[in-house]
Amino acid sequence: MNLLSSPTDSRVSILLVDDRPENLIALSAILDTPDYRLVQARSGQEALRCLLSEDFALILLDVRMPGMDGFETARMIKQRERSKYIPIIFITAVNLETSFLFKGYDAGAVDYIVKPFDSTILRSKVAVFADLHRKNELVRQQASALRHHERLEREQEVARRELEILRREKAVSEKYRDLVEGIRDGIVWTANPETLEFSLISSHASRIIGETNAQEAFTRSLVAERSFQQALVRIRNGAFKDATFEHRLSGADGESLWFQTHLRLGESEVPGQMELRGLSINVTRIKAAQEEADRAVQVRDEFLSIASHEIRTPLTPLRLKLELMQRMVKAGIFEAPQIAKLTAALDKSCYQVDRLARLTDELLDVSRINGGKFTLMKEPVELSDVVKDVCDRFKGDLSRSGCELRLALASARGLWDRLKVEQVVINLLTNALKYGEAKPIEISTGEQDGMALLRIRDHGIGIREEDHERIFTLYERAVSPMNYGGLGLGLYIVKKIAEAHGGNVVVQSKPRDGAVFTVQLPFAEASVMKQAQL
Amino acid sequence: MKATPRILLVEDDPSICEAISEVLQMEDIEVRIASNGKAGIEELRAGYYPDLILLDLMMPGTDGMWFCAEREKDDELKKIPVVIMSAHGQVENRTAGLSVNAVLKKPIGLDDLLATVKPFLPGH
Repeated sequence: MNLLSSPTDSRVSILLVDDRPENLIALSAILDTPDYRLVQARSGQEALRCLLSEDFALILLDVRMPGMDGFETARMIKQRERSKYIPIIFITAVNLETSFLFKGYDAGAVDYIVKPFDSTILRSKVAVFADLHRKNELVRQQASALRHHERLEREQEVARRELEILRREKAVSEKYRDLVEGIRDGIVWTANPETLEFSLISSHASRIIGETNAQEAFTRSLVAERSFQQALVRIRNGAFKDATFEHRLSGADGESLWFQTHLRLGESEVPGQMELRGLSINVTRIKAAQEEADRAVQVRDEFLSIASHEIRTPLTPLRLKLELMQRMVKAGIFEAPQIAKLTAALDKSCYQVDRLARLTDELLDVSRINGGKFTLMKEPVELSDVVKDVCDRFKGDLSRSGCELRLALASARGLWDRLKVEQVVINLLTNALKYGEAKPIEISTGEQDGMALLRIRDHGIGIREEDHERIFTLYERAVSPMNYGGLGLGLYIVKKIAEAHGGNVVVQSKPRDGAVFTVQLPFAEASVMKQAQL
Repeated sequence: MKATPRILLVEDDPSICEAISEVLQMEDIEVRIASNGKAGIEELRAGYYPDLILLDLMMPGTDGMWFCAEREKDDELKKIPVVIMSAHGQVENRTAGLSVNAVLKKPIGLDDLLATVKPFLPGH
């Protein structure tokens, strides 16, 4: 749209209407300036035609014309919307009677010029109207420019608001994307509850699952889950609010992943369409930790059950022997046979008390080791003497077990905690007796590679390779606790004592081929100053 | 002449076997010992027919539960009453499904042992 006047033609258009060519020539000559564009019409009809296609600032209209005269032409001009505001100056040769003048004004004239006209008056009158036209045009153009400017401003404001909405939407969607992608240990997804098409699966799926077709693997495991199917049924019944369940995904490497999924139903961006939204958290590590904790609790409970069994077992013979002796004493007969019986009962009671004491010591040792109160009282100790002492004390057990004892003792003298070393020998010997199947037990002491060496070998049930490490841990044993008594603490204590002295213990064994336990202890100096750090 | 009462003692701990046998023998009760469930069943199948079975639950290999299951399968063996001896804290839970006649809780006392055992023996 051309808002301002064309720069190529800023002239004011003036329509000259007269039936006589000489008059038109005269008018044109007087008004001929670069400011005006003069258009000539030889009749009222021709003037009206010109007015159809062009706008004029002023019309100079001859009154007396054949056919349609000036008044008639003026009325027609005033009837037309396009031309009704164009000022008209009548040109007349007749006398200016008042009635004539009124007729002209009625027809829409604004001025008169009488022939023969004065060129100066004509020019100045025309100039007034041309100027008026220019000013009107300017006002019109300014108003139009103003309207245009206002519209532009309105459009700009609308655009600015739309932009702001878009910016906010973008920020919101970016925020949610960041939040979603920030959940590194979870998969955020959306799906159509009818078709089960997944519209979104967050990018961490492939990192968590570690497969090329991770998303497909994930959706397959999810859809196969019974709780998911139940949720779908409730959605279709309209009874669904939300659901939480766990499901398993078998990874490509054969390892299982566990997900805890929380489902919600919401309206999607498509009107009238619902959307299933889910967050599936990778709980594999939590589950593993839980299983670990459950196992630890189970091991502890098993230990408590065994410990109570083991501690109560010696109490039955002890109690029975004591009550028997009570009866004998009450009977008051102290002949040789009764005294022999009493002595035997006392011996057996003492044996049960020893058994209880050993169990109690074992428990206390473990609680000291675990409580960090395990300190070594070092003194010069002859290892072979310790072995001889212990074997002497276990004479009864040895003969009951049916195991033959074979000793090969060479001197090995070091700075150790005597009672703790004794404990090592006792624990290894009782194991050999327990699992030795009445076959010979060989114990040797000596020196090897600058370390003192204690080796106890049995020829019993043996230990599977995969259990070699486990048997040295707390509460563990290679065989069912129901089948072999004991607290399952012996080897754990042996290992802790050996390590506290800077030494170690190893096992060599195969099932049905017996077991060899070898304890190595440094003779001293290097570790003498070092308190056991447990 | 009155028949000698007979008890089969199924128990793995030698000290317990020795002490119980001594007490029962003083009452003129014959005691035969089996050191696990399988040995106990074998004694019975071999024709030893006691008045009562004293049964430990925790034993190496074939334990007391195994023994009870085997006994259930055999109509003849089912007729012999069983007294369970157990040091296990929850002996009631463990014996809930077993058809046992009495329970002796370890540590077993002398009077308790005799009072529990005697009602199952002839002449009482």
